[in-house]
Amino acid sequence: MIDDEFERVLSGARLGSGAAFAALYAWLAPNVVSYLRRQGAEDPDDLASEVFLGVFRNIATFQGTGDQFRSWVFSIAHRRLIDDRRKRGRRPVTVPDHGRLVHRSLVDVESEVERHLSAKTVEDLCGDLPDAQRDVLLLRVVSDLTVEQVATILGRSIGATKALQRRGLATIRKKLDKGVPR
Amino acid sequence: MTRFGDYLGGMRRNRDGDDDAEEALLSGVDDAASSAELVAFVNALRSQANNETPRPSPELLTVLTHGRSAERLFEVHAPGGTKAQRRSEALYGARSVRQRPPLVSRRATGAFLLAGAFGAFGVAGAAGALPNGIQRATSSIVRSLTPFTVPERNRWKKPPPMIVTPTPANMGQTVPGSTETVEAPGPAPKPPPTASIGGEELRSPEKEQGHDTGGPNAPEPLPAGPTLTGPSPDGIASTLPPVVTVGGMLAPATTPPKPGTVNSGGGHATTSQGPSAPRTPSNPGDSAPERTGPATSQPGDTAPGRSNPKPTASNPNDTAPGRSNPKPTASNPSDTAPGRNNHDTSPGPVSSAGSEGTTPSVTHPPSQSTNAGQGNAKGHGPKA
Repeated sequence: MIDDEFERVLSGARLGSGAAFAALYAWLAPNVVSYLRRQGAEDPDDLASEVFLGVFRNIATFQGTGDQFRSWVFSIAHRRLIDDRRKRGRRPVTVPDHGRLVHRSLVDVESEVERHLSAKTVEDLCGDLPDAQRDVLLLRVVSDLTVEQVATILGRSIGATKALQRRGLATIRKKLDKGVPR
Repeated sequence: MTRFGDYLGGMRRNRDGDDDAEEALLSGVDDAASSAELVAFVNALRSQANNETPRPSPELLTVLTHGRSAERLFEVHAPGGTKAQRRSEALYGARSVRQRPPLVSRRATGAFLLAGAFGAFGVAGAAGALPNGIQRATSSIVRSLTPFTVPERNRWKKPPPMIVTPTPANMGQTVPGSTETVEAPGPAPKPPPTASIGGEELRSPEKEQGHDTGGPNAPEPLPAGPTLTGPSPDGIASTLPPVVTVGGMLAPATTPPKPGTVNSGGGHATTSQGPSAPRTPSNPGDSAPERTGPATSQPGDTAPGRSNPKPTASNPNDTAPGRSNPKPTASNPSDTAPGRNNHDTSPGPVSSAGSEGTTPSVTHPPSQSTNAGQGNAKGHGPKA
């Protein structure tokens, strides 16, 4: 979302416009749900709805650009995710999205099978990562945040965040070199 | 070449290169330095994230449809809008949180608590239990407002303790709070002596009841004990003044004791020891055959066969058969010469009435009867 457009949408959201809320939701909800799903949330859609309800409730207090808004939304999503983990009290387990993929597979069978395999591989690779490394990689790739933003959300230094990112990529590279079944 | 060597610089260059390659990979810029499989993984992850189609919850769908008004409606009916509300609802239930007591009842509760505090303050003021300044102010206010009189705190103070020095003038008088009574000698019975200080008669209630409990620390009043009548050691007693104890201190008495009669608790005790004073009597003539009870523990009453490891009483009658005395100090009748101190080693304040073996009127409570026959003056006195 371009900054001018974002400013306009944000102003409408502060005034309570439902269209502005819908625009913000359409902009960031897919990434939030994907982040929550890769992190092993039990019900990513419901958790994402809670995240956006919190965002819309407190949107009058936000001031900043589109990138800062994205970082703010994902910081809320990360906190909700931690709360969800505490509630469940167990290690995150990735939830595959087979039903949606099957629905899509009706359109283009070959591409969806390839995508499904790829999604399965991605899920396995993400699920085998340690929590800290997975947090960094998912926030970097799925949420499209910078290292500084990720470090702020996770409460770590930039150097530590970079180290975790490097170790996570190295782990994935090793597994890919060994030949993960697709 | 740096002073750290080429290897470190090479590592740094490689790390910098890795950082750049990783940054390019993660930011989506095609980088040839990264492996193709890793690039494929990142691209697949990003594409999947962008293709997600979330399903909003009904509440969120309402907000997205109707905007802020729907959100406000949602906040009102949502279970616990704030964190505190949610916590209280989790503890007590949502209904109890919404059904708070109305404002009128809360005000009534506050008024009730205020009235209770005021009443407690008034009661404390009437009892004189407040601090000095507050009590004075309270009493003045109450005096000015009401016909009642609230005592000031100074009126509740106790008078200073009376210190009575035994002199011939007050001999035989009872001092309240003290442990002894000095009975004035004389053949003719005198009326119960009273001491008056400042016009007040100084008589303890125990004395009026005929009991001398041995001071305020005595555990219980003594029952009436047997009356012992024995031969009077007039020869020695008449020559030496008795020593009475006042408040645990020794004070010489100028009047000789009443000869011949020992009243152990039944009537007026002539000399009672302090609470912790061990009994150290030494009555040389205490071999009274008419003694009917074990009320007294004269050193001469040592039963045969009892061992006395540390006798201190100077009684010539201590030479009972079978008695072993490892530390005899006065087991020899020849040691009981008048005027000789018989090494009374009893600790604490000693009622040394008759320590010379001359005072006949030594009274011991019946509780000391367990010592009768032991003749040991160490640690067997009445203790508080």
